[in-house]
Formats: sequence, structure tokens, C-alpha cells
Amino acid sequence: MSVFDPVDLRVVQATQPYFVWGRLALNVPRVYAMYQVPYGYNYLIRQVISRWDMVGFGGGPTVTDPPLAAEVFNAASSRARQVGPVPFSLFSSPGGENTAVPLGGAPLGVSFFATSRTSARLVNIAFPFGDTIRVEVTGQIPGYTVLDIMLQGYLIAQGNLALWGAESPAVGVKNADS
Amino acid sequence: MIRVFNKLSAEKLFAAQRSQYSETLNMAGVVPANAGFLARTDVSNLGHFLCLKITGSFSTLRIDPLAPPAIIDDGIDHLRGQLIDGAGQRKLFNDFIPLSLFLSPGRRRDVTATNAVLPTATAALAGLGNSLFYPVEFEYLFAANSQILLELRNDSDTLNRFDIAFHGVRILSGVSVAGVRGV
Repeated sequence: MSVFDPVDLRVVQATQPYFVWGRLALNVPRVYAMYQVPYGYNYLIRQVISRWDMVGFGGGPTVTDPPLAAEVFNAASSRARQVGPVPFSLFSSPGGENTAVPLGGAPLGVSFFATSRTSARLVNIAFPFGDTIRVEVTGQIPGYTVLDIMLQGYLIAQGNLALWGAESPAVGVKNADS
Repeated sequence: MIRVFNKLSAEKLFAAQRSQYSETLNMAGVVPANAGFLARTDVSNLGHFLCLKITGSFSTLRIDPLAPPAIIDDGIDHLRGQLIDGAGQRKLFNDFIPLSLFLSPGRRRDVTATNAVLPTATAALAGLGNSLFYPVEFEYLFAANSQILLELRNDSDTLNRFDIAFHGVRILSGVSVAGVRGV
């Protein structure tokens, strides 16, 4: 869009960005992140941004490409949104730009600055989620305990619901606002 | 869409600018140690503001545990934020999200840190801030006369600073200002 394209307010006010964040402990080889979608909405994922604990054993080396894989599901139906798990580096944009996540603080003599590549990957999972989103992460990095995953996307109102002024099949009358 | 190959007409462009133009709203502040802070930016009564992108940077400071009250830059993200549309208090995040996950260029090296110039016994030399720039897409219409709110929490034992810019389009039409809410 260019700034000179006329903005249609009826269109732009219908979308709402919604960022959801979860923190996972990588203490077992398969962990799950659950993201709830508010009632009355679908959720469209545009981008997945993540970062991970940069502290190894004894303040060891940082990891730029963690040996993890991720897969997205609709939680209630266990419906997979991918053919299978994909390597984490292809699934997510490393978003921790020069920051780290050590929960206990930096050990003495060390400062942590992420060495992850800075990049942006548009995931654009075009089929919206009307259900809780489940992200399954498989794999482990010894000594690395925390994984942050943030979904960047949009809430889309389910216009067929009476909640949003649509015709109610139960009552058979139209909402006054519709 | 304007393209460089299109014939540009100053007359048409000025006409378009009378109803909408590019604008950036800024939000900046200091979050006290171990505390919360509510940052706000007025959308003003000029018209609605269609936000398209967010960018921002922040500091990663803490007290030097070996030599207080000296301050070091440890590179750990101590700030978390919850973005709220002031009209209706609509929350735009599900939780208080660490700033490094939704801001670019992100962490910046703060000159007030003792390890900004030389390493200390406690911390290595603070690295440079990130130089690459990926504005995060955030398309949302903020109504005229409303406020953009960012509730922040700082888990560091010293203050941290932040700057955020909302890039978008100001829509000046008198019709639109009449009220997008409840249309």
C-alpha cells in the first residue's frame, strides 16, 4: 500500500493485530506451546518469531541454529497444518536481536549478546485457526532451557456469529445493528 | 500504488495529501527498576491513525553485582510490554511480551553502562546494538482523540530506557473523524 492509496475505513477497522507469546522449558525432547484464540475470532498467523536461552553449561557457547523442529496443529482436532515438523531455523525468524534470555542473569565476566541471524520470514499460514493453536517442538539443546515463541498475526471476527450482529438462526430476527 | 515508472502528478499528490499523509508517532520513556510504567502517545484530534509498522529500541541495563551502584549492560532483555488501544482498552497482545520479540532494531548499547567502553570484572564489553532493521507489521486503526498505551514492566534492578515508533497514515477526512467507532 502506498500512502497515496485512499484508505477505506470500513476495511481497515475490521482487522486487529494480535501478538501471542509463550515460553517453553526445553526439559524434555517434545514440548508443546498452546495459544488460545479469543471466542468469536479466527487467528491468521503472519510470522513466527522466537529466541532461545543463550547460556550453555558454564556460560558456554551460544547457539545460532538450534537442532529443533516445529509443527503447528489445531489443538482440539489435532489437525496438522504442515506435512511434518520442519527445522526450527526454517519455521521461525530469530527475533532476539542482540538480546538473550538467561533467567538467572548473566554469570560473572560474561555478557550475552545474541549471535542469531537477524532475518524475517513470513510464514503466512493462510488457513485461519478457530481453535487453540498448538505448536509442538521436538529436539533438545543440552544445557539450553528456555524457548520463547511469539506468533505475529491478526484476529478475524467470525462474522456468522450473532455476537457480531449477524442473523441469529435461533431467534430468526436480525440484530438491530446489522 | 505509486511506482517510479508512473507519471507523477504534483496536483494529484497534493490533492491526496489533503486527506491523508504519512506520519510517525513516537513513544519513549524510562521504566524504573523493578517496577511498572504506563507509556502513552496521543493520536490527537487531527484524524484517525492507521498504524502499519512498529520499530523500536531499548536498553538492557542492570546493577553490577560486584561493584554496585555501577551499571552494566548484560544484553538480557529486562523489559516486557502489553500494547493497548486506549479507546475501549482493547489489548493487542495476549501477555506482557519481551520487547526484543516485537521491536527492531531492538537492543541498543547504552552509554551509561560501565562496560560500554571497557570490559569489567563482572561483564564483557557490551556489544554494539543491532544494525539491521526489520519493521514489524502491525496494521491497526487507532481512532482520533484516543491514546496508544504501552504498559511496561522492568525486572532489572536499575532503570531501562525505550523508544518506539509507530509508522502509518494519518487520515484527515472530516467524515472519518465523525466516528469510526460504532459506524
